[in-house]
Amino acid sequence: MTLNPIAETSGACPEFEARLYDRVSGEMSPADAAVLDAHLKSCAACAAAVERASFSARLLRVAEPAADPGPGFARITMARIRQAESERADEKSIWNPFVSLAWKFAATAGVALALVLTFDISQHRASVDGTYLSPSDDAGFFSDVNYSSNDRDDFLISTTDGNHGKR
Amino acid sequence: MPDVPKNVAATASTLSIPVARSEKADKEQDLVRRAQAGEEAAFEELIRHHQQRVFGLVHGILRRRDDVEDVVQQVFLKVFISLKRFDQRSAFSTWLYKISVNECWDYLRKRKVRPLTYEADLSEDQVSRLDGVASAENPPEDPGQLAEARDLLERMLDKLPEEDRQLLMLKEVEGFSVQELAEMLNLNVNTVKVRLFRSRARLTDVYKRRLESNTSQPNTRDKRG
Repeated sequence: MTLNPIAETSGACPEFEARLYDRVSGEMSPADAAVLDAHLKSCAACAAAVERASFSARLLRVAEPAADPGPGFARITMARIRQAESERADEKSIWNPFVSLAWKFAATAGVALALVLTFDISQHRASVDGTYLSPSDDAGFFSDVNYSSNDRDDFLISTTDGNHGKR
Repeated sequence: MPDVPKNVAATASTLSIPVARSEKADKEQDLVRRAQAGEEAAFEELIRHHQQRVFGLVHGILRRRDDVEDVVQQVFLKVFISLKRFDQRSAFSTWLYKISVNECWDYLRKRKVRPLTYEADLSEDQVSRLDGVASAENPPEDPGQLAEARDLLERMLDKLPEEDRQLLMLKEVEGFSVQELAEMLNLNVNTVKVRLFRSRARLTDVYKRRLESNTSQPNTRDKRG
């Protein structure tokens, strides 16, 4: 004997299924129920689907809902929350010095990068204009008054790309 | 005495339920605000108010009784951590249930397990006993029979698509409303109703199919004998 596969749908008219559920679960006003009953009298497919859906209540009545966790559950859960919070705080305090150090490194690297870029751009502009920085131009970078301008020129020439410089 | 319009006086008695609900909602909002301000006693009170329903919800999805308590505690821990971000635009319970559903799915994904499944099919004897339970006017009172009937029902529910089984459990067994299910699963209310209706019809189909299968098979014990 071949058995019919379990249907994907209830077999009822799709536009009535939501209302049929209300009817089966007893969540329908008597007036709406009367209207639906008129449809059920004329539609065998919906009537059969209602019968099948209603029968399932007999099967489902033995199902066991979740047990009450009891009055101590909230207290136990709060204890677990406190423990987790304390562990999180400890974890934070262990990593705090490392995080702080990492931020200091990042900030220093950022400043250094900004200086190098500014310096490089100003050099590039100078080389495009066909002139090198005059001692007064780079005074912002080299505020040391004892630093000789010749030394500065040597330094600049050695650090800039030779192809960019024009004598 | 102030002059109360007749229609207001007439509806005063019917307003008692919404007023009670509103008081309950106000009390809950107050508890949430106090918990957000760091008052642990208020959060413990919130746990007490909702623990039973969250247990039902997690149990309805996982089916694994042993893991339910752990997952529910994890839910409340997450709620505690993110409570300050909760803006009270929705009900606290709606927010809590959504976190619970997500936690269940996280749990299943991390553990790489499906909700409890039964590999073996029903035996001939089990099907006849189940038929007895379904035909009886009342469910069995004997704890042994009741436990067996529950086991058989679980096996039949196993034949339904997982999401339908969960909806059925949450609505028909754990007592969540269609509205609550729609909110926590981000579904349309009518969609939930249609799926519940189809699931209930399909559960009966599974049961009837087992009975038909049982009566159509030759008696194997006779053959062996």
